[in-house]
Amino acid sequence: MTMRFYKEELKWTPSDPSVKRALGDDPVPAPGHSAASVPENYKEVHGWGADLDPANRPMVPRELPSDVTTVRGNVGARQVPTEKVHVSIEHPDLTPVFGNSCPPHGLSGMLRDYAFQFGEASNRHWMTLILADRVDMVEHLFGDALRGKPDNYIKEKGWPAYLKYNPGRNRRWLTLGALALGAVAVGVAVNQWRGRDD
Amino acid sequence: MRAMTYRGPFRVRVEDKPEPEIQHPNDAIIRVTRAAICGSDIHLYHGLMPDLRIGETFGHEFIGIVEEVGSAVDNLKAGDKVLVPFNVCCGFCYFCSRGLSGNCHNTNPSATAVGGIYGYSHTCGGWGGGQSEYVRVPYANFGPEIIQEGISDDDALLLTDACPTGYHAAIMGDIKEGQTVLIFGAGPIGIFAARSAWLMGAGRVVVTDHLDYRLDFVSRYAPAETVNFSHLKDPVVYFKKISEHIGFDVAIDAVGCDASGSAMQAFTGFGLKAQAGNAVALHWAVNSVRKGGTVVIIGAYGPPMNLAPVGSIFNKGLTIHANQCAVKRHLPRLYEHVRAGRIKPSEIITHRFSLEDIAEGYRVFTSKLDGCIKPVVIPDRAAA
Repeated sequence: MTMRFYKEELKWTPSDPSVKRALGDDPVPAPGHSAASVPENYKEVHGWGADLDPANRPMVPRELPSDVTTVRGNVGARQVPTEKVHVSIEHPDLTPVFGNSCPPHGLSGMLRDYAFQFGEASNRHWMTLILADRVDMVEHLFGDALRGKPDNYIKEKGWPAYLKYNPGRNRRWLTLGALALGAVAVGVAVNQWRGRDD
Repeated sequence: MRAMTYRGPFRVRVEDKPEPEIQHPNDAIIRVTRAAICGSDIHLYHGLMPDLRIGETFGHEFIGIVEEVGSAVDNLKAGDKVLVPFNVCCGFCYFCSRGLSGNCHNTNPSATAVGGIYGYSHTCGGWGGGQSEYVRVPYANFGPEIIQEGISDDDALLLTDACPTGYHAAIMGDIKEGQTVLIFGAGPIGIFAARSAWLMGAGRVVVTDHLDYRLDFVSRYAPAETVNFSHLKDPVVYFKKISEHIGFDVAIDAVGCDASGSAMQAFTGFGLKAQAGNAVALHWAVNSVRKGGTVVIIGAYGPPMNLAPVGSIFNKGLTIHANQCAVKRHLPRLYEHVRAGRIKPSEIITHRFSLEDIAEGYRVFTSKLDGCIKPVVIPDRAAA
């Protein structure tokens, strides 16, 4: 059979005709397509069909029968809030337990107060929260610096990992970058030295 | 205690924070012995989740030792080694009572659309996460489970989220014998979804991603056919051609809002913030599945809107299945699979970091350095 390539596959070098085909003869597998590890008979895959019977599958049926008809159920004890907790206006009341790992504060807190006046279908709710997140970041940037805990961008971004975990490629780029910076520095210095002579 | 803290997009550090305390009779305090960085933590790390406050501690995959329990907790005691499902759930609300513990209504005051999740922003309840030395676990009579004999710590850690979530995706696909399954994303969830698709009786499993090392891993682990979509001008056209122009019976989006592969989606999502991230994987899933087929959304998306081809969903008569995994319901069957060797969760762990080096862990994971598939974080106190 004559090989027939499709346009999107011709974006790259056509695969070698000797490469095992994934799906018979047509179409020719793309260069990035491999089926080398899959057995010819899929039923030979270890564990195949163990959950073929829906009775073996958890969450079948998706919902179990229940007598509970209220949204909260039989709540019992409730956690007592000690700081401001934002509650969606779509909730009937504060949930019986809640996390509050970072209570609202400052200008970002005021923005969050505003956002929680709107329901979850409102863009004003979500977009204001995203804005509050960015304001929160700036507040902490200055606040922590004033408290003597300034941000260490290099460490916090984990950049040393580039050297530890992909040293060859990244050291090459760092070396090239250092050489380029050095060349620029030498050029500037020579230029200034010549200017002083003139 | 020492805890990872979020400092803004792409920045985290380890700080001293107050240890959590019992605040409700049904609380437990867990001393973390292992935590994992999840692919969905990367959505947080990139600052894509609304109401993600500076100082939050991430981590919804963790195991540990019970340190203290509240007065109403009667099925756990100090010293028990437990795994903690990522869902914060009560067990008795309208949804939990129906087995939907991933949709608990009693643990997240900030939103009704999503249940509580440990360390996953205030939009998911404002709970402290497991990438720290201690975590407060509410409703401890229902959520955490004592790690059973025959289940290793590493397997238990992966059973808190990644493994059940991939398994849940395959179940939501309603896969019938011999059906074809196309999975977008070869991260941990995609890997477990591919492995699980065979357990459901699939006849063909194809995984697509743009990272060769991950495709190489899933091709051996699942096993699965793999396609690097970056080699293709139009991946959807290719998927149609390799499925005899019918399309796949089931397509699983195991990527979520942080996808690669479309400049337009990236620009509108990450640049303009006009949508919640990049939804190209969902777009391709809808277009690659056959008419009448099933699309599963298991990759994480935030609450605001995304660009998705609703017209194609309608015209093709697709069934969309999506939900946070209700881990509690999957665990009994998954214990059987792990013991029988049908799924080996811990085999996807590639890296281990001290909690003190967590910033590097995030960088390695998010920048796909050193062949990273699943990083585990160990607090120094646990390692000692």
